[in-house]
Amino acid sequence: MSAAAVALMVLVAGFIWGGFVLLLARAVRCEANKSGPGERVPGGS
Amino acid sequence: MAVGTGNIWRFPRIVASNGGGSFLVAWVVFLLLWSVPLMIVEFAFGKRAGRGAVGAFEKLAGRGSGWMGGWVALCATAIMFYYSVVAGWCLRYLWAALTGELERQGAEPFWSGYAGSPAALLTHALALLLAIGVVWFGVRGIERVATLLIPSLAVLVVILAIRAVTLPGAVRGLEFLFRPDWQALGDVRIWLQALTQNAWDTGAGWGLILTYAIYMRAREDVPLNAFLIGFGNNSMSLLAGIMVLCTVFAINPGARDEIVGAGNEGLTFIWMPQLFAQMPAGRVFMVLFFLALSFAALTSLISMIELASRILMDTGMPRRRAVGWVTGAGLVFGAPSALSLDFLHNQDWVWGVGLMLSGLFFALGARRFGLERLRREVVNADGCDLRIGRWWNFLVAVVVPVEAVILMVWWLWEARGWDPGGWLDPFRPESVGTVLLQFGVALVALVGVNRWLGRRRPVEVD
Repeated sequence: MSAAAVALMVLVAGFIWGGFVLLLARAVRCEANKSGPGERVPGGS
Repeated sequence: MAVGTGNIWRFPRIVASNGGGSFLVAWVVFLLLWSVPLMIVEFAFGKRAGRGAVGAFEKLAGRGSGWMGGWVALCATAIMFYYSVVAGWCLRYLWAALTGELERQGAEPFWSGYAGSPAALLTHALALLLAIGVVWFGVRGIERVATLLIPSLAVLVVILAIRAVTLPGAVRGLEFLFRPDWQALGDVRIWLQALTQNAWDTGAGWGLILTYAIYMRAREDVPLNAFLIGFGNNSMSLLAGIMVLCTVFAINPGARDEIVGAGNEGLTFIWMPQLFAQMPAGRVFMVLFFLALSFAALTSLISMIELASRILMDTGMPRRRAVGWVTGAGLVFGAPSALSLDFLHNQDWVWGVGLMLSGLFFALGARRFGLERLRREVVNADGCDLRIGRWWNFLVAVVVPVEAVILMVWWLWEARGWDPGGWLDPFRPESVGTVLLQFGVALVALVGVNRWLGRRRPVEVD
C-alpha cells in the first residue's frame, strides 16, 4: 500500500471512527450524569 | 437507527466508481455541511413540536406550512412502499443462504427466477408484517428491537470487515479505497456524488429523525445526538466499503469494474454470493452478510412505518388503527414494486430526488421559525453537553438550500443523458418527465389539502 493511501486511511478512518468513539463516550458520560429517566417533552408521549 | 441497506450496498459501489480516496474526502466534508446540520434541524423540530412531520411544520414553520411537512412524509412513505420489497429480498436471500439454495442454484439464476415474481410479493408482505409487528407495540417495541438489532448489525459488519481484510490480496482493496487522487477533487461530479451519498447514508432530511425526536426526553442533548448518529452512520459505511472492496479485490480483482458497475442489486444479490462461494467458509460469511443486510433493512423499514403512522396518530387516530392503515397501504402500494423491477427503479429514482427537496423544506421551515430562536431555545437547551454556535445558522440558511437546489438540478440534468430520446417521457422509469409528473401531482395535491391540514392541527401559541 502506498504511503499516501495509508496516510489518507489513517486520516479518514481516524476522523470518522475516532469521532464516533469520542462522541459515544461523551454520550455515555452525559447519560450517567443525568439522574432518573427524565421527563418527556409535552405532547411527545 | 439511520443505518440502512444504502450504507452496505450503495456506499462501496459509489466510492469505487468515484475515485476512492478523493471521494472519501468530499464525503466527510458533506457529513459536516449537509447531514449534521439537517439532523440538528430534524431533532429540534421533533422535540419542540412533539408531532410528526406535517404537524411539526404547521406548528413551527407557521400556518399554511403543513404541505411542506406533507411532502417530507409523502417521500418517506413512498420509499417505505418499495423499501419493504427490498427488505423482503434480504430476508429471502438470508433463507436461501442458510439452506444452501443459493449455492445450489447459482446467484444469477436465483435472482432471475425470484426478482419480480409472486415470491417477491410474499417476501414483501412478510417484511412489512415483521416491521409492523414491532411498530404495533409502540415506541417501547421499537426501542427494544433497535437495542438488539443495531448493535448486532454493527458486530456483524465488523466481523465481515475483519474477515475481508484478512483475505490474501485484500490490501489491494484498501489501496483502491484509500488511494488519493487529488486532481479528481477538481471534478464536480465527485462532490455531487459524495453529497448525494452522505445524504442517503445518514437519512438527514427524511423526517425519520424528526419522528423519533418526538419521544426524546426534555433534557436530551440535540447536538450530541445529531453528531453521534452522523458519525456512527458513516462509520458503518466505511466498514461496509472495506468489507465489500477487500472481498472483491481478494477474490476476483479481474472483474472489479464489472462488479462495481453492476448496480446495487447486481452487486449485492448476484456478485456478493458468487464471491462468498469462492471464499473459505464462504457460506457462513454469506449468511452473516445477508443477516446484516436484513437487520439494516428492517430497522430502516420500522422507522419509515413509524413516520407514516405518526402522521395519522397526530389526527387523533389510535396507534394500532394508524398502523393498520399503513400496513394496508404498504401491502397495496408496494405490490407493483414487488412485481416489477422497472416500477421499483422508477420509485427509487423519483423519491430519491424528492429527498433533496425534503432537505430544502427542512432548511426553509427552520428559517421561517427563526434559526437563532431554534438554536437558543431548542438546540442549545438546558442539559446540553455540546453547544452549537452561529455557524449552524449560516449552514442551514445558505449552504443547505444551495446544496439541495444544485443536487436536484444536477441529477435531473444527468438523467437527460441516460435516455436522450425519451428524457421527458413521463412513462419511462428513470426519466426527467416521470419526476416532473409525480412531483407535480404530489405538490398540487398537498397544496390543495393545505387548508385541511391546517384545520386538523391547529397552531398552538407558545
